[in-house]
Amino acid sequence: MSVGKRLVAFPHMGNNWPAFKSLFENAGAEVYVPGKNNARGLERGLKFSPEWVCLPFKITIANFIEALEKGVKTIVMASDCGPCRFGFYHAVQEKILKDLGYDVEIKCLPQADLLTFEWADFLQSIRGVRPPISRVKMFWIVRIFLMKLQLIQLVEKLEGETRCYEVRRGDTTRALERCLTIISEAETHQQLRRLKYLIKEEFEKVGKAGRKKTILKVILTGEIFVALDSFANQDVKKKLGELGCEVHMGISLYDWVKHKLHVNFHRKYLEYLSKSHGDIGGLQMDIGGEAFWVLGQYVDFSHGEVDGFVHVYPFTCMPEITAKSIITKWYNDGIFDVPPLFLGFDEHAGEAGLVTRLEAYTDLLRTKKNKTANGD
Amino acid sequence: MVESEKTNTGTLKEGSRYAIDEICIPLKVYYGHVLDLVGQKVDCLFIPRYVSATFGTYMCPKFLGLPDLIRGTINNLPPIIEMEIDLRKKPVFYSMLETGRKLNGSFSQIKSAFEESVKTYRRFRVIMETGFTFQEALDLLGKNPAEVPERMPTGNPARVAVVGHGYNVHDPFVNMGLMEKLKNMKVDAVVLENLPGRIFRQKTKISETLKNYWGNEEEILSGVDYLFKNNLVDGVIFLCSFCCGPDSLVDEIITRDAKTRDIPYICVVMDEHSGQAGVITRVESFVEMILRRKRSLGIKEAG
Repeated sequence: MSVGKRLVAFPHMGNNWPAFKSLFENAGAEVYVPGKNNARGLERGLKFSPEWVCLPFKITIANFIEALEKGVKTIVMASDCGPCRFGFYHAVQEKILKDLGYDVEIKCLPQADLLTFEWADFLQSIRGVRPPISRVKMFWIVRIFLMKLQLIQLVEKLEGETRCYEVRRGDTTRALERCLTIISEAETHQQLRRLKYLIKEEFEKVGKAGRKKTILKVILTGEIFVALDSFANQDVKKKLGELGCEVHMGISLYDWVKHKLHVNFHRKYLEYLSKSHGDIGGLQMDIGGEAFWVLGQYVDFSHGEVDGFVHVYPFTCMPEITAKSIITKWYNDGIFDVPPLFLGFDEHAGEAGLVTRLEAYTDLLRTKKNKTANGD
Repeated sequence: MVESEKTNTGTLKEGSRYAIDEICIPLKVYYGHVLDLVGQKVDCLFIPRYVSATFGTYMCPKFLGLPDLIRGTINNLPPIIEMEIDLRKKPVFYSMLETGRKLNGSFSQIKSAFEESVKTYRRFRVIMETGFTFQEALDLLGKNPAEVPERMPTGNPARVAVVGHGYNVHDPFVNMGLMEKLKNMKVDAVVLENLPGRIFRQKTKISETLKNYWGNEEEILSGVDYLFKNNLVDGVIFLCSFCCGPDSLVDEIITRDAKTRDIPYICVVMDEHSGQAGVITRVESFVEMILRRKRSLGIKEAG
């Protein structure tokens, strides 16, 4: 560790670590990236978490404990201002960690509204005792961060869409890992601009196998942490891909950041869709989580060429349950005809149950698709 | 105006049929009440949308989407009169005005109705702060409008605070008659409404960086804080419903607080499985422990 630099750690959320790593490094901090989320870590996190808090809390606290044991003193956690539980995370986690006897300082990355520019103060504060970052540098840092997020979004998109065509099983995952490494290694704007083509090439190499089974088009969406983190959702994306589904991601962190910067017009459109179905229960306002947009997406995709809609959320997530109730009813009443599958995740990782459900779901979708194709 | 029946087994059973499995028990009960009213063939349903009840706070997400949730999940609903209370954006009276307009009320009518209701609520608070139970207060409210009778001290050996959301604490069906049971066990129960109103005005700080943003939790946290600081009770019972999001974190905060202050604390989780024995045993043993502790502390002080 070089002199004057502060060692910080941040929790994992899916594959987005390269972007955050570069953000904090460019801001002038030393970064420790915790190991990938795993069952052993989660088990330790569970010990110190409240009983039925949602899954992301338990996973992130496991990350923190790991980092603290490596000697990290400063931890970065995003904060929010309601209405869902997420805003409480950092405060309660700090309480728990301090009670455990760790000397920890949790720095909040305020993301309730990115246009308030509170995050700029945050970036200045993690530098330790060093002169502040100039505005030009700040712009440059954020630009690199956003570009990396955009590339990660592309990687995740391609990963979902390629896996069902792969010739050798596991090629897509390997390509994904390679892409993440090159993204995290790239430092300048020029390098990042070239990466786009490299990534596309990387996934094209995986190849298209002529599969006998019908390829299904499935949307994967839901609460952002669980939808993006492959450990939290028990690799739903991979499993769906291997069952012959083209998985289209309904969500990404880039999308979220854009929304928080008030420039995500696609989300505005989804909001409109949800609102305009108010008479049958479309949500009228953002109630936290992704519920508002998940409803919009469900309406949106039911007009398009989509076979299935997989909605993942942490067990007991308040907003997503609301969305789930409404979508269930819509489908049961035949208002929209895309079959939804709801998967609530918590720490009980019985894999067989999940696989069986996914297999049954894809079988049903395939039967339905073949039937409509044959014109029955 | 028609009210739904008091919560009973039928309410919950009907409600559980419509609500999805993961939803918390208060909502299932709410579904039951809505279905009860739909069955009575009412012309309009009144469903409020509480976004925030004090400035700068939020309610639980399920409150935010309540009318949409009901509209989206129950068939053959009568038209819904929605009242949005959002103190982040507009004063209460404005919401009242909006709702009153939907009922074709004139401005003066709405104003007098609003003033009347505020007056009743204030009186109710005064009665509650004197120390009456919720049911007693409701009865008194109906009787003589002018005076608040003195409350006689019960002379019970222990005082226990029962905190939690109003719909859990004051619904004897949901909490399985907990208040009655405490009374039979010769324990004084203090609820949040019994505490002086001034303590709820300040926002609780969870940590250096976070101020609480949940309206309901605000009451619980500041109430508990007041009780702990002034050492007013011998123990705290926290009633929360299974799957309640805010409570899962607030419970953790109170637990840690109670531990440092050395005050007995129990969290009773409720769901629609109305096995009373489990709850009774837990509460009984909790009360028993408090009494024993008190006795031993008394002996120590005397010796």
